[in-house]
Amino acid sequence: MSLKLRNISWKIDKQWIIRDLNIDVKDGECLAILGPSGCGKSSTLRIIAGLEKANEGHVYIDNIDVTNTSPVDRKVGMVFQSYALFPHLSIAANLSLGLKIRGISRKEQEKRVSSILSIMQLDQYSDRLPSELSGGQRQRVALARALLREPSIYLLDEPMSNLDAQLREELRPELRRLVIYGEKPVLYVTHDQQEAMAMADRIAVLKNGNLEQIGTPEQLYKFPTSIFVASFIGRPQINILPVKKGLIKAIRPEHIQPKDEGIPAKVIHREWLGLNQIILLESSFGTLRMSCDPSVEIPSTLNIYWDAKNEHHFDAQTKKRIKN
Amino acid sequence: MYPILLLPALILLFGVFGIPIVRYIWLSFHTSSVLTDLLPIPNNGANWIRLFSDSRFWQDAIQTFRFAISSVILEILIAISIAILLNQTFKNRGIVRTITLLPWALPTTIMALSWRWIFNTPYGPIEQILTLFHLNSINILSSPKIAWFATVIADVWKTTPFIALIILAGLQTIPEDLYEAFKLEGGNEFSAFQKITLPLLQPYIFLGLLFRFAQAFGVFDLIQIMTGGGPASTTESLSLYAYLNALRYLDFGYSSTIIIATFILMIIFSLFTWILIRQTKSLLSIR
Amino acid sequence: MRKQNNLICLLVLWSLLPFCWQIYTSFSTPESILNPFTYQENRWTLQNYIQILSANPPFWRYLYNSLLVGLTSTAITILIATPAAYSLSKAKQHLSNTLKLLLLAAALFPYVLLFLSLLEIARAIGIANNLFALSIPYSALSMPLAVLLLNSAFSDLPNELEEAAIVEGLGLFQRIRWILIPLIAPAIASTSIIVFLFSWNEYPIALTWISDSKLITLTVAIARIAGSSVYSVPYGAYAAATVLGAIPLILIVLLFQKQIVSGLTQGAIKG
Repeated sequence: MSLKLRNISWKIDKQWIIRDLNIDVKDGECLAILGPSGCGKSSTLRIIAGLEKANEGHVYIDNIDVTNTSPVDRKVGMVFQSYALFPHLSIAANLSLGLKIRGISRKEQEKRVSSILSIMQLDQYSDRLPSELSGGQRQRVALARALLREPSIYLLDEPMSNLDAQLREELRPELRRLVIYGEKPVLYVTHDQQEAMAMADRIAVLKNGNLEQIGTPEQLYKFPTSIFVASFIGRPQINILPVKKGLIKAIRPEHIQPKDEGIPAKVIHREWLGLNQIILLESSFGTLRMSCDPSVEIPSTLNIYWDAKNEHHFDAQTKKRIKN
Repeated sequence: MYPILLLPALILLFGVFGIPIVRYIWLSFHTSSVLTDLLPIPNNGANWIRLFSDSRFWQDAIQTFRFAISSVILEILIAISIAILLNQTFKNRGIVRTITLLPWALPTTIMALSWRWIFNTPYGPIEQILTLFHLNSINILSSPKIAWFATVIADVWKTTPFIALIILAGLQTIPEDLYEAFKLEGGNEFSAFQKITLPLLQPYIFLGLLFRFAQAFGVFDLIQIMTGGGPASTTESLSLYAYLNALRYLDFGYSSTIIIATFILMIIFSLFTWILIRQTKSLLSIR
Repeated sequence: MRKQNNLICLLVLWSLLPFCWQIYTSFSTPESILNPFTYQENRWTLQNYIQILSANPPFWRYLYNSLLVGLTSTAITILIATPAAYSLSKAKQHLSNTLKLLLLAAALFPYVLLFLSLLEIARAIGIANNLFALSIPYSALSMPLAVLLLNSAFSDLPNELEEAAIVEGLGLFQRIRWILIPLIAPAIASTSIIVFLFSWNEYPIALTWISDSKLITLTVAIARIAGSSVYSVPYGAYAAATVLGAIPLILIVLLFQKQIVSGLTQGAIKG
């Protein structure tokens, strides 16, 4: 176990941001911390980096308690949301600053910087200023800086959120490859469930500072432990059916299909997306989303059906999963 | 936060602002003059009693207010015009801005001397022009009625650039599309100035007003050099009176009393202006 | 457009005329000074400049004194104000607002009124008539504005930049040296110039602290040349003195106009 968070709690002015958080991340494992804004995911990262100090609990990196270690001495490699490249320094100087501070010889500095620049395919930009680079290039420089730190753990804070959608998809495999290259635990903070599922071995879903569920993307998708996780994972969003006898049922849009002897429904909106089509329906269960094969012809009224074994059941009071 | 980094600055500020103020308050209840060999001797508030019946002090207080208020109001009005002018695009705008800034950068002593020379009778240019056209001499700096206004003109000349710059900075924060939207609504240029420019400039105008009023209230260099407080103390400011008491009449106790009284008058006046501004805001439709 | 040009000319004339008149006077012979618009023969002279430059001490001595005081006060102010401003930018909202308000009050304070007590202090600790000692009150008096200006520069820096430096392993002083100072260099430059201008132009404290005629600063020297009596003033010489005294400032304004403007307006916009 290379990162352990034990009973971490943190508050700002009496308001708890994180409550009793326990997380383990293995070497080489990428854990995504997923949640809506304000759920405490960035704060968790900052507590691990030492930029904030938890009110309670302990942080262990490589089984060493670093709770009271200064962030300067923690050896974490961090990629910030804004990349936080030093705007007055060239790319090469940005990368060598940390090495210089650690007393590494000038020759060695140059060697390491030029090798990381070529890995990142940034060779020709070494003398440029950060402002002269594109968003994707800046992101790679930020990543290179984290890699040069030779850290015990990588912390990535929404590293893709400043990039456009297309670039994000292009960079995902690359980021994955480079991060694994260090064979260290990786924490990846994001609010984008798709990105979390694409990047992470496991995902921790946070809500209001509490760990809602932690597991592989598949576990989260198939067995969400609460309505919150069920709604957060999977697009289009899961359909929550009306409460009946203290039970809330939910069904994923992709599990609903047209069938002649089913529930009657009326189409109110449709989105044809190529890969699939999403149909918004009005039925006796209220408004439902259905995702189906794009080649299927959908009339304006139809009957729909889903297999009861695909339903997720939750307690209407606790909003938690009921075994089914 | 690293409080230790703040410490040297705080110590220095305490030494130069804190200690003197406490010392003044203390001295104002003591006689410390030639009579006592400058040793402070408690006098049961004699300085304060003297102050209340000192007509020169009250005359100077009125003069200081008159000077500060007239120069600040003139400055604001001229500065708004200059700022609007400098905010437009024209050739050599950079050079014009630099030239505008010059009077502010010059030491008060230099510009006070220049103005004293301009207002000089009979050799200054103004008197010379009057003579050229065979007009009567107006003897500006020796006339108790108008000498004070000559000092206001000099002060306005020197400090208007500062306010103009602050207001210009304010003007540049007003987005152009506000004016465009206003024009589409059918507003004319004057009403745009009244409804958009003035209200949005308001904080900058108040800031300039505050800064300048505080400075004008402490006016010293200008008066000391231009008129020495004359004629017949009509241009004498409170700070000059305090200076004369300390260094000419060597009465440190009374000088301190004048200084503390000046502080108090200034604070009262600032509060009064503050309330007045808040009250009149709605009347002027500056919102 | 016509109207605009006229107004600009008026503005330029208004700003320059008093000074042009000084230049004009400074090159005039005593006879033409007395009749500036009529006297024609023997019109121009350099005698006024020769007179003040060959006086004892020569005029450049005062320029040197002012420069010395200006540079030391600027250095002390920046050295003390920069860490203070940094510390202030890291303070809790509530505390930093209170401190900023106090600094604003100090910046607005009519400092002239402090001269008497400052003179007493200077005499008590024996630093009156010491040129370098003048930079202590000058630094202190420029401190509030300097801290406010630099603080707004520090507060404008994105927090993540400094955090990135922390994570990279840079300690406090390494961060200040490698990251923070270079990034706020423009603000340091404009603050320095404003502090320098203040100290160069300061009069009442210089007047009361320094009596040795070899140590007086430019402003006091010019006021001395003018003397006390309106009638005995050597106008030519003092016009020459004002011109010489103004030249360094005109150069500063020409060279650093951008920094001065940004320094003054930064304070206004952020305040």
